[in-house]
Amino acid sequence: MFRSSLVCLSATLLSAALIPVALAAPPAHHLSPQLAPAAPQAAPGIEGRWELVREKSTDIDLFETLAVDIRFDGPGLTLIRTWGAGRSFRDSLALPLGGAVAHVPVTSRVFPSNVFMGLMMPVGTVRDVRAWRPDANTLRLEESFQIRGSQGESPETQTGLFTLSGDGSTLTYEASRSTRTSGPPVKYLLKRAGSAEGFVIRLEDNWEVAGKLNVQAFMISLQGIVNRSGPRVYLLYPENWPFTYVQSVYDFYRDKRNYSFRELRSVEEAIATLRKYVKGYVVWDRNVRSSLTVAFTVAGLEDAVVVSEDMIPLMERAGLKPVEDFRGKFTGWNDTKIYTWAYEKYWARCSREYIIWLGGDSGPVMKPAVADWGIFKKCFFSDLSCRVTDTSEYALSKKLLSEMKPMSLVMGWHSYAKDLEREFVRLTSSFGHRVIGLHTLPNLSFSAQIPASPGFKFTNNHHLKPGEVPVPGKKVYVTCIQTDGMGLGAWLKPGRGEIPYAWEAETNYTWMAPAMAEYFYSMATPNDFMIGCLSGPGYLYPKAVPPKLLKQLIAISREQMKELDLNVFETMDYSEGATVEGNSDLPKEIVDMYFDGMPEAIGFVNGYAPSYTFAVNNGRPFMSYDYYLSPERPEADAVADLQELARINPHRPYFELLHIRESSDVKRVKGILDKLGPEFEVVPLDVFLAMAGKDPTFKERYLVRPQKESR
Amino acid sequence: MTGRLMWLVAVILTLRPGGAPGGATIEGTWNFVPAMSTEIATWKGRLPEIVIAASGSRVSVIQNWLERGRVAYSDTSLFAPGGAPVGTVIRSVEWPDNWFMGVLSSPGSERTVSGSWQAPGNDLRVITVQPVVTSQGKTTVTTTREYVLGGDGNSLTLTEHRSSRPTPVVLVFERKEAKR
Repeated sequence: MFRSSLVCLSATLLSAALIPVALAAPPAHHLSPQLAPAAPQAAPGIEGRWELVREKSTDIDLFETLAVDIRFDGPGLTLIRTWGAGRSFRDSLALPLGGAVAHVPVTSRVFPSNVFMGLMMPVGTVRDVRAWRPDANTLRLEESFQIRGSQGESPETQTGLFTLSGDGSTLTYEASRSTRTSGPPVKYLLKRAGSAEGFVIRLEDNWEVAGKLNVQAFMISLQGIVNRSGPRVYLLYPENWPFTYVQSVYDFYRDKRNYSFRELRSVEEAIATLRKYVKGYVVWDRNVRSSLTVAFTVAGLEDAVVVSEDMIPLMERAGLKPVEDFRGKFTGWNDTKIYTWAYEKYWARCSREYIIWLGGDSGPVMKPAVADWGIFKKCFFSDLSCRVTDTSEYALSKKLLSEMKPMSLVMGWHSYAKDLEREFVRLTSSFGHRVIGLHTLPNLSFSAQIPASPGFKFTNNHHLKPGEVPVPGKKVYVTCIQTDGMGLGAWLKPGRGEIPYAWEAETNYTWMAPAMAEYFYSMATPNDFMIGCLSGPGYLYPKAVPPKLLKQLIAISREQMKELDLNVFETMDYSEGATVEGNSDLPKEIVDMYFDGMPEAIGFVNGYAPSYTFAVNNGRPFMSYDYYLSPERPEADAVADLQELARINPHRPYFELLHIRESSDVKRVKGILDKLGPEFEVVPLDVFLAMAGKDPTFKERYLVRPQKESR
Repeated sequence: MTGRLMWLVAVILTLRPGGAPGGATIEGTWNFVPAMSTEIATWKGRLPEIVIAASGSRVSVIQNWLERGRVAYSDTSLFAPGGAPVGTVIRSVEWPDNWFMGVLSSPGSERTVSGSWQAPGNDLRVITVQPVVTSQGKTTVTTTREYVLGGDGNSLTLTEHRSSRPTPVVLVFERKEAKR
């Protein structure tokens, strides 16, 4: 659960490796809008233009960079190596394949790979060059020539080996010289020319409506529009952004996926560079905050950037024209009237599979990171209340949600000023929709278009062999699950990997942001165990979902869990209030739906704060949290809490399931667990569940509803 | 229910003998001082308030949990100091002593409360024996609460010893009137 106090993922798409991903019709088993990878295609060959990935290549002193052009013409090869960009040296060879010697006159003294060494090619001499193509993905070159140093000429032999990567996205050029026998090997990594190139824009930490929100909103709208033509714009949010991975994922795209980014440093530079993607601008009214929310809807429908009044001259200079002007338009209107007006004007053209709730921070602040995705998908934006007593806004919320396709995705978050998370999710769940939070979810229009690396397999860190059931001792077994998903919280903070820890994986990343899923999986330590969540493929409350839809939603989750190698699933239901004053328990018929719908799952966990539903099905436990570790709880008190729970639950083994608020890092949690004493043992979640299923010392308990009296 | 109890407290407060200046007793309404207390696993910012009143041979201790100034949960203990334990039927599933532990009250079960003056009018001991429900089923927790009036008459220290807990919980309060 994301709590309100918290601050609690077209056209042909190109991958970093230029592997096409198509916006496909959803697979039948998903029954929902999906970005699905296209059928595997033959990797492109070694021919073509290649550009250096400098960060992963041997340094090229003066020229700094290298481009390689490979063309085959029957039995012949044309190989052009261009060293440098502005000031450059071009070495063009036309060679027979098969090892026949080609005599190439030396016409330039430049020794391009090491200009800063006192070496030169003797002009007028001849290079003997031979080329082979041992297989389709490899090219071998051998050169013999004279080289001149300060002491005169000497013979030199140079070998070049060009090897295509398995996915066809990169080319490795290894160069060895007879005279260079020490030091690291000379190796250049090249990617296809024009691929994996993007722009990066740093956003300032100013989200005030009266401050610089206009700049951030402009950049986010520009990102959503431009990324329709491919993954081009990535935004770097401030360090304190709730999704902590923004910089780290950027590094991942650059370092692991060979992305090259050019930074755009101002609104002026951004619009000048990306002008061709934009068809106009929409002006929002700084005096009416909701006008910006409506402007985002317009931005998606019209490919228009959102601007405040003071930015108009800049847009005009860029040759853009207004498509809408909301200055003064909504003055004195309430949100019901504003969004009703927007509904009447724009709803017919908006997506029926995605909708944006641009809530969260309210009043003088707005943090609309998810808007790029909403624009990308032509969504309707609002921040309407889902509180029953807000009758007019609630009615319009219901109307919007009722006109979406079943099991649609409600992206963003509820307004902290209008309603509660549980009111929002209860209403969306009642239509079978699923929520993906938050309003601060960044860069999805970019990440959605980057597939996982070819051949990458999502492998969870299981601690049990299939069918293995460890025998529990007379101990207290403790296991930890972090709240609120992987993108928020402790993933990048100290201590991860030091103790067994489970993380709530956003299973929609399988299709919505597969490279993001790869990012997390590739970083996971053996102690990091992923689980599926939250009640379905997205956040929903099962008690509120129509039963027929719930069954379908569980089936989608099951498929996503298979893709991500997950075998534990988490549920949560605050549709009848929170743990303390409400009822977060589940009735047997719903628990059984999960047992039946996910036969591969070894267990289920339930709740956010403690909850009280417990069951076992054929050795598979359904367990609720026994403890919620709040970030404010001092360590000594938390230790006492856990010890008290172990005393108040006297039977051994006792299975103590902890839910750790994401704002506690793993180091803090370890500090608490280390003090519990010898009776306690911290175990991985899968081990915990297997033991609990074997020896369930908890009492079976379901939500029991009062029987209705018959008349 | 809460309204009736509040009415009772109001009557008791009206009838109690007036204390002389400097002769303050433990009776009155007490506001929580978080900075001087054990951190409580609070829920939605709920903070405790204690109302203690004596009338004749009986003492009532009411612990309210305030949410934005409104009583969101109220727990009343009514007993005769030094007398036999008084049984009451538990009506709420809430166990307010720690919101984030998997412990519920057991509606329909009986809770007993007894108490005694440790220093008449000033220091009070209240013992509660309460059935609770946990993941492993039903069990009983005995809680001893020591209410000690501060030397200035305007502070109250509540020390809670639960039979299940290795360490006490210490909560400090200040007299509501003292803030005015």
